[in-house]
Amino acid sequence: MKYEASRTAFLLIDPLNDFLSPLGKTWPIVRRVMKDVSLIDNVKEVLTLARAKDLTIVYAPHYRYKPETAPTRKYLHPSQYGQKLLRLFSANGFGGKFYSGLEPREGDLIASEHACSSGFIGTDLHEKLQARGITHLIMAGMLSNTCVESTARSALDLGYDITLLKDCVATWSREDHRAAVDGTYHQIAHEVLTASQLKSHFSEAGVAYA
Amino acid sequence: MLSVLLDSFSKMIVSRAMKSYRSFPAEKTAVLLLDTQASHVEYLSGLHPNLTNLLDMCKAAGIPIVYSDFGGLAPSNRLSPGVERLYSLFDAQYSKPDQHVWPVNDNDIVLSLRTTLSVFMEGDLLKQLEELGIEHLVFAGGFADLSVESSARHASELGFHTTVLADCCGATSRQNHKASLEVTLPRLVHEVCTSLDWFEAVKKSNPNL
Repeated sequence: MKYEASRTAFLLIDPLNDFLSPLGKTWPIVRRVMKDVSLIDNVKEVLTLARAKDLTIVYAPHYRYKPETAPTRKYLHPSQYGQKLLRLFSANGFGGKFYSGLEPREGDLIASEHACSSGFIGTDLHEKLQARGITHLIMAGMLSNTCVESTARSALDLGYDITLLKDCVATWSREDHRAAVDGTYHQIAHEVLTASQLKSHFSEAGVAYA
Repeated sequence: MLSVLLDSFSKMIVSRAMKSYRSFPAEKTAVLLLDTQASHVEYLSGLHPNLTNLLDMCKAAGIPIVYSDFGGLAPSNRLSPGVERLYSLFDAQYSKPDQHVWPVNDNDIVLSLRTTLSVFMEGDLLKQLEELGIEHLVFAGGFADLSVESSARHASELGFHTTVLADCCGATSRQNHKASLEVTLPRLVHEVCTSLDWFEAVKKSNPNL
């Protein structure tokens, strides 16, 4: 697959402390798969590569919890219930901040917060990508089978080309991770790669376009 | 080990909370049957008995069925393997609403062919459901890992009480049937159950049945 820098974005989903930091609230659960795939090292490496190749960097962050804006809908989404219970991604605390080393820089796009799992539903992500002329998304972040996959499914329906990085995503359990990266990813993504495979693609002469 | 225990515990708590929503009053419930057009009949033959029972149950309870089939002109850009699979099965000749393989009742809705996996990504289904006062959506169809999963994920995000009937769904493979219905969807919708479990819940919610 060709990667035209002007049309390709690296989309990072929920790189927030409550997932990624050892002090984060869900870290005791997700650390197992994060460690299995060396998530932090791989995502940092791809982010550095994407910046070096002048790709657009896009962040799709989860809703940051505030008691006064907590969801009150009749049927809470399972993720909303969990978030409310644990006060995950606190708007005013450590958990809702971007993980150090993966935070946005000036010029990056930051979409409005998604309430449940797809970075596109109820947000301005599509509008921001369209404004930059993006047609191809390389996706990474948390969690493999929830927000990352939901965002990829929406992206597919919206007509984007999708590359999913299987060692740049992690989730609650090894079973959940395998269900996504070895199963459904291969139906919805145009390609499923590792970080090093992506790096090789970019290193091959004539494959990366500025 | 600790991560496994914590995950099991949190899954149990969320699942219990989601089951507290379990209620299916007929006037507020609709079943979405996806990708079951005539051109898929051979592929779906294993599902026929369960789908037939499901439709009979809905008819008896007065629960509307929304039929939505994938198809139409393939876009010019590269297709993902799952979408390519759906286009490979699609046959325009056998996907017309008046050739629907299932009996359509007066209160059912037959949507135009769609080119997206999520039934909510194009068209006005959301508006139609809101106008009917539908709060509970129950999903079944040809591909658990494709249209059913994308649509069910989308439905629960939109605020519907969302249920998926595992024994009324096919998939691109046995592995993906399990991945979608036993592993992933229980994290993202309110319940994944069998049609028999659901029939019992419908009877409890509608004592006149």
